[in-house]
Amino acid sequence: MPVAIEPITGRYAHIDIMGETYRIYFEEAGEGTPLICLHTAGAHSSQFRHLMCDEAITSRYRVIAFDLPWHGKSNPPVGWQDMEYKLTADFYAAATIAFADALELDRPVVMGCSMGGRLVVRLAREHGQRFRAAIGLEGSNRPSPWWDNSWLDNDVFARGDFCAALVSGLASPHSPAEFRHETLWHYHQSGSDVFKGDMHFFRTDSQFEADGAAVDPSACKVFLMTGEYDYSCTPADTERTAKTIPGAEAIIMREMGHFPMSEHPERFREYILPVLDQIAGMGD
Amino acid sequence: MLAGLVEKARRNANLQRLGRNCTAEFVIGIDDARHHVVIRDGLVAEVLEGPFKMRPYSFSITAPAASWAEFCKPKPAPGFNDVFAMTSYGHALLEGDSAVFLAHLRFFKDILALLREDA
Repeated sequence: MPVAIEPITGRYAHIDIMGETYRIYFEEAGEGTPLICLHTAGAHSSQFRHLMCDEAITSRYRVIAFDLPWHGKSNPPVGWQDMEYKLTADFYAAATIAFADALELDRPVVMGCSMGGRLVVRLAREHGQRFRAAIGLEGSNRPSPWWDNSWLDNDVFARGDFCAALVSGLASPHSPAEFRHETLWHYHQSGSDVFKGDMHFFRTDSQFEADGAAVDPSACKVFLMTGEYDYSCTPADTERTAKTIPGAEAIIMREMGHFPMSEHPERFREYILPVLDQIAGMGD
Repeated sequence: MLAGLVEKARRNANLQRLGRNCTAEFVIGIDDARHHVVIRDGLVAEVLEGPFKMRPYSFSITAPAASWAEFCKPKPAPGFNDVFAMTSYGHALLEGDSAVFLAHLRFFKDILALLREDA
């Protein structure tokens, strides 16, 4: 029996972001309209592996996911040992644009989850002409704290098992155990300092309530898709956010948690395929 | 709800591995009832029925019986599937020295998962 090899390829690109060159790892599969995928805090691009193995998607979309600097197989900047990692909204947006430019992607769709889902609100506002659509998974326009900020500075945060246990309840009990735990493994392995640094963006530097109204829906349509089990970005947060963005569509996913693409890929495709159909139908 | 917890935990070697560095006592509050869960080196040693006048404990998780009943279902409704979901939506209160809870977070969450009907 031949070995099962997935159609995903991974490569490295050297990309300038805000004056610094980073060695960025990215994975991709498929051909067609570029679909940039942004992973959650404290994780990496593997979260999108199921999309990259779905012919219903890869036959029309070039699915590309990159690891943010410091994450997964992307490097931190040279000299990382003398600095504290703190993700800012400016850097996160710049990194996404720089990646799209470096790969010469023509009006890609951008889809981000959790902190990535929040960033797409800002991208749609600032760079709407650059993206044909923005999909925010578990995304809202402002921090909605469900834990105490002070724990970011506690030593307990410096453990992978804590990071995983902190977010474990955000996965739905309806999602297959194998994929729930694979999702949590990313938090186990990703480095607690990385997760903590991402929380700077997610908890402090992502107040985008004023951004929504300035989105031009004729340039970039926004979709906000949230699982009903998500208590980090609740369905109410999502519907409230969608109301502030002209033309935005809110989709609440039944029996889904905070990590739809990785915790329950079969269920997620029922929701994402119609959205991708709609975007494909918009033309260029 | 707590019947059988000691035995279920005793049979779970992985739970004991996760909690091997944990010796603590915490309270599960159900309506006005107070149940003290005593942990020794990762073993759930005993569950004591309170209330006690002066017995020390580290932290408590308190919720109405109806909220715990939902939590204990194999697939709880949204907002009831995790302690943080319950505290986030106001279905439960986490009080006391939460440092102990957070220092052994996976362990304590796995103990609470043993309360589920299908555990």
